[in-house]
Amino acid sequence: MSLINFEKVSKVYDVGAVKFKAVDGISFEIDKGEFVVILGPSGAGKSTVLNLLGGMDHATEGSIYIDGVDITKYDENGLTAYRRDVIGFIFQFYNLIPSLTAYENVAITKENKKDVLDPKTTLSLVGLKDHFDKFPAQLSGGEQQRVSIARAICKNPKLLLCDEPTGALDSETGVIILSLLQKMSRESGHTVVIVTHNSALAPAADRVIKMRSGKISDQIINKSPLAVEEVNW
Amino acid sequence: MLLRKMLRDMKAKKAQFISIFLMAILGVLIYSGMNAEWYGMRQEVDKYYKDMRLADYWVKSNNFTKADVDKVKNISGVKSVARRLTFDSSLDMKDDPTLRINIVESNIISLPLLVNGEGFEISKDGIWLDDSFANARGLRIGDKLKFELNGLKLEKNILGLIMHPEYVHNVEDNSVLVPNHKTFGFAFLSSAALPQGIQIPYNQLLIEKDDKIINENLKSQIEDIFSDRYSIVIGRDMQPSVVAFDTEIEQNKAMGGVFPVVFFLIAALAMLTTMTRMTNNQRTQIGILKALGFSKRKILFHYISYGVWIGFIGGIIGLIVGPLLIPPILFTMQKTIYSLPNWSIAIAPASFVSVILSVLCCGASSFFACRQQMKEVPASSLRPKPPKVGKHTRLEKSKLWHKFGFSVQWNIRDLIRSPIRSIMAVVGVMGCAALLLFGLGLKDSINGVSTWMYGDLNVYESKINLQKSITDGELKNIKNTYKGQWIQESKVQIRYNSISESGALTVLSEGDQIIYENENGQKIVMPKEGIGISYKMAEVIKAKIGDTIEWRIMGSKDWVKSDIKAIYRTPMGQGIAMSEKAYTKIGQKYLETALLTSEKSSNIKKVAGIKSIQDKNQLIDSFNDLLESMQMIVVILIIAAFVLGSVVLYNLGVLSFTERNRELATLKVLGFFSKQIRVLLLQQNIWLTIVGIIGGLPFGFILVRFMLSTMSKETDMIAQITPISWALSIAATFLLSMVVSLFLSMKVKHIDMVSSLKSVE
Repeated sequence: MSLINFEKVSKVYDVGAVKFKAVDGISFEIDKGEFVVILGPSGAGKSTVLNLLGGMDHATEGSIYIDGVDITKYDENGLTAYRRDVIGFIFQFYNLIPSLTAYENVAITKENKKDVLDPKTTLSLVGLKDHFDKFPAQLSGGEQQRVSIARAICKNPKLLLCDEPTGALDSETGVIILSLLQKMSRESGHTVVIVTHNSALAPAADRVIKMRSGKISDQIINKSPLAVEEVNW
Repeated sequence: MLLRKMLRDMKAKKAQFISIFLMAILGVLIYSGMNAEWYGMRQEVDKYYKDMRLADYWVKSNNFTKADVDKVKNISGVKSVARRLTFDSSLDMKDDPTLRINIVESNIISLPLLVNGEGFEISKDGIWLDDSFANARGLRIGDKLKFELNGLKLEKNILGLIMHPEYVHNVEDNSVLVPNHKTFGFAFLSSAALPQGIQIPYNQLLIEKDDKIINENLKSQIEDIFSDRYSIVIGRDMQPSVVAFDTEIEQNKAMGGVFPVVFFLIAALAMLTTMTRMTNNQRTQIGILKALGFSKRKILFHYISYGVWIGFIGGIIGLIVGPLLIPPILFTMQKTIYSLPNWSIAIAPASFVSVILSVLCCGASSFFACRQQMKEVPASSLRPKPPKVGKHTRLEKSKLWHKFGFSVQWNIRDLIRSPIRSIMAVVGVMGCAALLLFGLGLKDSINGVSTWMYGDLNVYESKINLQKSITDGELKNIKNTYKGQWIQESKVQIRYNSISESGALTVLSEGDQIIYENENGQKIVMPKEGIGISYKMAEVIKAKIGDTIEWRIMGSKDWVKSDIKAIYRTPMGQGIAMSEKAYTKIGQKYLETALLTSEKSSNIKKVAGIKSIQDKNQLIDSFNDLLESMQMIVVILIIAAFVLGSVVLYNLGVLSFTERNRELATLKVLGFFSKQIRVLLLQQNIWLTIVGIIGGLPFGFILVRFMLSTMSKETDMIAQITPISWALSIAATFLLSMVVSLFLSMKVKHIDMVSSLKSVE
């Protein structure tokens, strides 16, 4: 059975008198453990899909099944609990708390959830063994993004959602981050969904969902995806 | 165009700008309001003194002759001199009121002001009565008034009702704080109205200075003329009513100065934080403006103008509203104590300065806030700003740090990261707690004086005052009828080194109707030798225990030397006290003037020899009037405290909210419930509130002490604050802070995760 099941989902924004359909009745499935890339130009609605998937926004129509449960039925508290237990988020701009150290930014998850991985182990996993006590401002962009990945996987989420995770990084650092995410999927069995406008990543994904103007224009399933390092940037 | 940008910016951050605006208004409003009050009083009373030609000097002695008048007139710098006989007569009415009767030979100095009836003239036969006394007693023009002059019974028609510049503080003597018009009043009549052939024993000379010829040694020259007999020369600076009113004005002046400091400080801090935040947000805009070719100065001016406009408009509103709002409230209280023909407001020049100060405070803090931004080159201000560096605090090295939960760690770092915001919150809460305690404490202290004076010290129920002319037989009769403690009360002049002061002398027989307490509040008994001196009197003449001071009873020529053996505290009626034994030991003759008794006044018959019977409850009542009129001031202070507290806390809350919006949104995405985030925010506010309260209470206590110390040298008040007031100040401040925090934390629900996490601000 698939982990994620989008059924005829729409998201309409009221912009004054005009109604803007950011997502227009799309359906797709994602299996457990897949490394998925959602591709499309800006304004295609890919981030909206990610937000709906992450329980940060309500769908206007349709159903979103995660492990067979329809999250569109959740209320505010239900969604909060869903974000807490199921989702790990990674943003373009890291969104670390500037007044907390790298370690504390990861350990913050312990405040909220009991069965988390050891923050030190996860930070070591992303290669930040020596930077526990540094503040975000003392870290490079790539390092900050790795902290944010550590924060996300520390919760041991079923679903890792990444919104342009390399958008603010140079390509070399970007490759390191992406291969880290791919490693999470391959080795730890996390389901990873990445939103990006960079089509170069497509050959590395198990599944590629291409979007245009709120609709899915194409869906490709890669039988033998390449490793991120092998992709031609 | 830039002006339009400013207005829109302000609209976008209206909560913050409105609060700064309010602080600027309040600072100027209270200051200019208080100023308008005392300045108006100053001007009115000066005009009153001038119009009524209030004497510049009073000479008190016995039997002034025409020759004395001429001698004084010959001193250069003296414009005019007049003789007057002033004496107290007990009227035959309920509660035996005292009427201070002034018999004047001419009507050129210290003129009465006519309120109603015929004008005062030397040739007219009748009496002119104190308007307040007449009202309190229900006396009217045309009524007859009986009184006594040295055994001579007189009856006169009331021709007019008057006020008098020597009776602005219309009390029997300076041991009385609040006038009781039912028991004391004054009257004027012409010497021509007395029966022909009577020798009038004039006991006062009134002297008016010449405006043109200034004689600096005038007072000592007058003193020299009368050096051969008992006499005392009093200038305006020693005239009790003038002094009391001047002290009142000084006190109001001092009080008005305290408030704006707090409010301007808050306004400046609020401006600083808001503008820092805004210029940070608009650094790209600033970069664009620079790139468009606006000069640095022009951009700087633009941001400074935010502060200048707010400070200016707020100041002007305060300047206009303050004098209209504050003085009427204060005047109702002043009117219970002072009699002035007119109560008007006058805008003091210093009020305009406070507007300038308001503009400077707000303008300067905007300047400091945006100066930082101006330093950058256009290119760099177009780039996003690197995140603020977090810092490891010393606290983190301790083991304790790791025991703290995440929320504690986060809040501590957040406080350290924005010190101005934290300081401002603490200052705001401090101000709130201090003002609350100040208002409640002031009321407590005055209330405390009443219980101290009439509960602890004067334990008697009634005071029987004897007539001066009492015979031995009459005294014996009274002594047989009523039991209690006998005392002799006299007015004395006290001097030590070069300082001379008038005060009260109390000589005590054995008894326990009047209690003395030392500086530590312990009961003391007047020694068998030497004298006790009141704390405030000792302070004024700079004497201490063991010193030898000199004193003489008013009317006697000889000075007596005495050693100070004890210092006692008394709220009103400063002077010296001694036991009967000590008094007779130095060769003085003990003459009882009053009996203090625990008998109710209603049980005392007014037999021959008794001048008046005073009931303690009367005194307490007039004190309560003062307390009641103080209620308004307490209310003003409480409102000011609440406005200050809520505006500052709300403003900061909004500020910290927008500053941490991203962080809070992150927490939300991580799956923190709104409630958890609210608790996190509340925690910080609780800390700041507690620190603010702890810091504010001592400040409030100091304010109460400061206010009481500005009271006249006749009154010695101790700051007394009841536990209830302490508790109320703490509870109200805390509650206010919690309500504001809860109100703010509603916003957590509305944090938009999607938009606040998307891009760099």
